[in-house]
Amino acid sequence: MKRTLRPWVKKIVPITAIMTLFFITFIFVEKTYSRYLTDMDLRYTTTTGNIICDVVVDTNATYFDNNIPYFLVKIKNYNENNEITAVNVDYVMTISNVGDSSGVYYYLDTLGNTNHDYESSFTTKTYTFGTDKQEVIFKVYVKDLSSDEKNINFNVNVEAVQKQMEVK
Amino acid sequence: MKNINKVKIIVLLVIGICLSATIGVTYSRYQLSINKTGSILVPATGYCMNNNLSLADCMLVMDENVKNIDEAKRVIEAKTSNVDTAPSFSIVEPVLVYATKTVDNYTLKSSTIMYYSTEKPTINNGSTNTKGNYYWNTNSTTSGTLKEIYAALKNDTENTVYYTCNSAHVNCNSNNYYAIKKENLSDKVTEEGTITITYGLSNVERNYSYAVDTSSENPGLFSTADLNSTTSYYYRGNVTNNYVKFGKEGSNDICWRIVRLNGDASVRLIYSGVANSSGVCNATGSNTSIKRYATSTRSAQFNTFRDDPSYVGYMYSLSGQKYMETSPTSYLTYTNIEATTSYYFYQDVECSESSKDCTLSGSYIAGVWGDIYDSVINGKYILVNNNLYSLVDGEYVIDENGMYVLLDNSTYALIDGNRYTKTEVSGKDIYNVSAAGNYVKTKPFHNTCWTSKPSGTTCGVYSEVKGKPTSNTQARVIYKGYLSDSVDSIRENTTNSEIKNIVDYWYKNSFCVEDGAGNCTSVDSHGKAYSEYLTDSVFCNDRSVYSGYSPELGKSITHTTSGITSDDLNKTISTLQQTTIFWTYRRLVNTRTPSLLCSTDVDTSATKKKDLFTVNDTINGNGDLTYPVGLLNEDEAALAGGVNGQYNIGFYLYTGQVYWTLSPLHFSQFSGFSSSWYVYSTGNLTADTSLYAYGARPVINLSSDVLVVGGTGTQSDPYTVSLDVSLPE
Repeated sequence: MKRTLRPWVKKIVPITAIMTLFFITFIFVEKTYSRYLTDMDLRYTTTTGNIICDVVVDTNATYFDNNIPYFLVKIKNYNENNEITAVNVDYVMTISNVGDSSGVYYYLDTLGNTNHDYESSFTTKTYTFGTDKQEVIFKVYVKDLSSDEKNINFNVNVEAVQKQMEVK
Repeated sequence: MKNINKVKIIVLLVIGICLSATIGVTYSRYQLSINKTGSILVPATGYCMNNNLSLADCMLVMDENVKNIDEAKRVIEAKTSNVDTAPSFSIVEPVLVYATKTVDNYTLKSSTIMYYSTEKPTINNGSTNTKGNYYWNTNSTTSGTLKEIYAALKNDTENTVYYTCNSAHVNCNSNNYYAIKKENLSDKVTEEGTITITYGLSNVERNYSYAVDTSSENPGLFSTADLNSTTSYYYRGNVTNNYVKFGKEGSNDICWRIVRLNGDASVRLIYSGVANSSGVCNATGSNTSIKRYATSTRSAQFNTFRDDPSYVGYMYSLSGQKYMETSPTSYLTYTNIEATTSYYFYQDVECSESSKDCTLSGSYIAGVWGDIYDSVINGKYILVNNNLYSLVDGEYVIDENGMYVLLDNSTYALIDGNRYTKTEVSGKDIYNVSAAGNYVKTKPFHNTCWTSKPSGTTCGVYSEVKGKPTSNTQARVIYKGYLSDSVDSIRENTTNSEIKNIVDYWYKNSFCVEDGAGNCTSVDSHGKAYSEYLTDSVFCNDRSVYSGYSPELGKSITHTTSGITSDDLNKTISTLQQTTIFWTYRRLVNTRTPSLLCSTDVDTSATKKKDLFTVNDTINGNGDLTYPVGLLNEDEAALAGGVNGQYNIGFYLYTGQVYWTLSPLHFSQFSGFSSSWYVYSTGNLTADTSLYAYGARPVINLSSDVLVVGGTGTQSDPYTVSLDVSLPE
């Protein structure tokens, strides 16, 4: 037997669809466009363009300080073609274990920032790249609490967003 | 109808999907998420113990995690010679980052001209020796006294803030700066003093720099040339895996930090106190130095005297002392005067050839140099009843205040047999002996040992004061007295320095616990004496001379051959050596090239290496030590990451305390004192006169056979060592 939609259902479906679309549009457009639209009243100005943020993880068997192995993470605002980001970029880096690895991590960057102690995962403070060529190197020390030699698998996540506009 | 609705829904969904996709694509241009994975091999703890490694091999293996010893050495040497990883001795390791601390309501006092600006100075974290100092980037600084700054700000109508570093440097160049705000300005600027006025201003904001963190670290082992064409592997920077527990003080384990693997394969350790009840070692604090003899004081003079180049020696000799004077016409500038200290100045002096010192005598005056210099240089005015009198010895004395002319009682001055009433008429230096008359002068009070006690009137070298520059902390002087006449004579090593006595006392009574037969009774769990763990490796007390008035001490000096009489004091008998600079100064201040290649100069018999201290080894050293214990030298501190003129709270030799090293700095014409190097409480490598009391941290050398039997080398889990692990516990 063929089912027919009730009248209120017929109305609610398109209304719901429209509201959903409106909601999605509102959320994304607010997030996206608030970052770069020019507002004459508040005199916001910005440049729009692609973010360039390159991450290189450097592990080497000879990287040891005080018996503690470390790896390097280099975060750059330019790519291998030497193209530099056209916009200012805020970014944070998160280091965490992968799978059943149980490493603890301590970092020191070239600006003197640190997380002060070994942690099973950490997220750095927010760093900012300008539009001139820049890079920050993170030295990440790794320990494992077991007494056996162990391979630690880790993940490096970098979240970069275009920097908030500045009032002029 | 149903189909129409379905179509509508589909159309709307399609539009929605498209819109979402478009927005997503747009948003992705402004947000980026990057994920990368990697893996790293973390070595097992306790590797050295599990593999029966010696401490020497353990150091090498653990530094780069290279298991083959020769390969580990090769990797360390490659790291040392690689331009990207080679140590730079011009900057500290680790490199420090500085921040500012602020203190409100500070009272700033100054008597000098200073620069100030409306621009706030900024801190310098650069790579030069000015790290941690503030600088102005502006050229718009103005100079003036604190009183003038006060006056300018008092009339200001725009709430201007003036910044000053209380410094004569036009660019600030100081680790302090002060903010003077009109809103906080006190009612007035205070004034102290008469000849030199010190201004004071309260409610000033003081800002100073302090090290907060490191901007780069490269800790670990590096290599350098050692004596006898060998190679040494030394720790540098913020090393945290070089702790060792070895020996006992009472029932407590002694902690050490490994300094280096010596060229002779022994392992050099520096004392770092005793472990606490949890087995944790000290890294900082006064307990990283030993006690002075049987006292609880943890400080030691390098020597109990300072007025001879000999006193830079761990052992020394005064056999070459001769009476000498500096030029009678080209005065030297003594710069070691403290502006607020009261010094004693005497009219007469007698020097003794037998005791090799000079005793100040006769009448004296005492006071702050800036206040009484005129009386010192020209004599003191006395007003004497219209007659000129010259006061002679025996007719008057000066009381303990140094200001009054008295003889048979405290009321009268007796001059040429007559009594005169004494009243002060003008200032401290003029006395009205009668109602009116002429002023006469006493003999000058030229002679001083620059002591602040009347009892300190005997010294090896005294100053005959001849004038005063503008500064209240300087005087023009002729030095007179007994000084060693040659580099050879001071290195004859016949007498222990005070610090050697203290270190030897500690070794004999605390580390070794010597019995009546001279045997060490402090033993390990196998019954082996801890002294048996030690080697007779050399300690460097490099007294080779880099420069002086002549390249070698005494080269241009002629000497008296007989005792000194008072008549001799009025003659130029010889030319005293001016500032003598030892080679460590050249290496650590001028060229920034620390070296373990200590002077191998030999004595007159051409066999004994004067500056290489050993106990029995007279091939590689001098055999002059009593026990196989010594001190660090300043080159080793520089290799470890210290730099002259720069703070370093990050390297492993930083303790927050001052402690002596074996290295001489100079014998200075400006102070008349010998100076030796130390590691300062800020981690700065600098020096002071040998008379001061600072920490003593003994250094020993462990045999290359000593095995690691426990620990990982950290502060809370130091390496423990044994000579023989096969013996039962």
